[in-house]
Amino acid sequence: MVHALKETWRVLVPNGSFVDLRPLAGKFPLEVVSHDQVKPAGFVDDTAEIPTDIACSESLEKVTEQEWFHREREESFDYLWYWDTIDEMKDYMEENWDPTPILPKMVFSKARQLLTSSGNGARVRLRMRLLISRYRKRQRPVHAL
Amino acid sequence: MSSERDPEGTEAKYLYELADFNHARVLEIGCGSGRLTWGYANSAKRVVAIDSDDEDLTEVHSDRPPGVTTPVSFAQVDAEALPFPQRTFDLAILAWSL
Repeated sequence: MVHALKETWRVLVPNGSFVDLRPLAGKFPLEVVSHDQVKPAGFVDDTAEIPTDIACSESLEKVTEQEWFHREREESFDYLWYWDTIDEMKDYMEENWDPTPILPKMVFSKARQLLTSSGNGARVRLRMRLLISRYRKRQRPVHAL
Repeated sequence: MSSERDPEGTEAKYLYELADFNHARVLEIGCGSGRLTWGYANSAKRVVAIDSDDEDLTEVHSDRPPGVTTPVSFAQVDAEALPFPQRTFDLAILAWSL
């Protein structure tokens, strides 16, 4: 990760910037939504990604401490991801996310039951948390990475 | 399979708040299938979007929306060995890729 940041520094013009956008690992609330109703079904466990989050943060801390970049601003916000059915969500996560988050059987069943009882148009959604940060290139790094 | 990511547009709102695309030469690292790229392309001067996964990149051109006039190029590139000269870009976006 530090190598990628060092390369980013190299290709940026003086006073250039980069924006890092990434999801934060954790337990994501799973909800069933229909019209204006939101019904909680439990949590999807993505905590296996926490070590990756820590490694990212450490890399970013390193390039700021070593004065390659200066962090100017940071925000976090909710990011909502919808599927028509809980089976589709499960299949998607198994095919595309590595490591696959844990969807407990009880949560899966609850979501399916809520979808059925909520009628047409109900969808399942995952509430993730995203972190966005802007870093400004420093002209002359004081320390080598 | 039907899924919808961020229909509220929150991600794009924050991205526009923090990134100044105005006439910028932009490098997007981890562009995937161009989900974010096409949204900001017309605000930029030029966009180079890269991803290490060749499979994702196969979809990008078919997803190009009409009306995008900014030069946008995609390439399979390792972010740890960028094949660009120094001081090429005004802005880099690391989109779910660090």
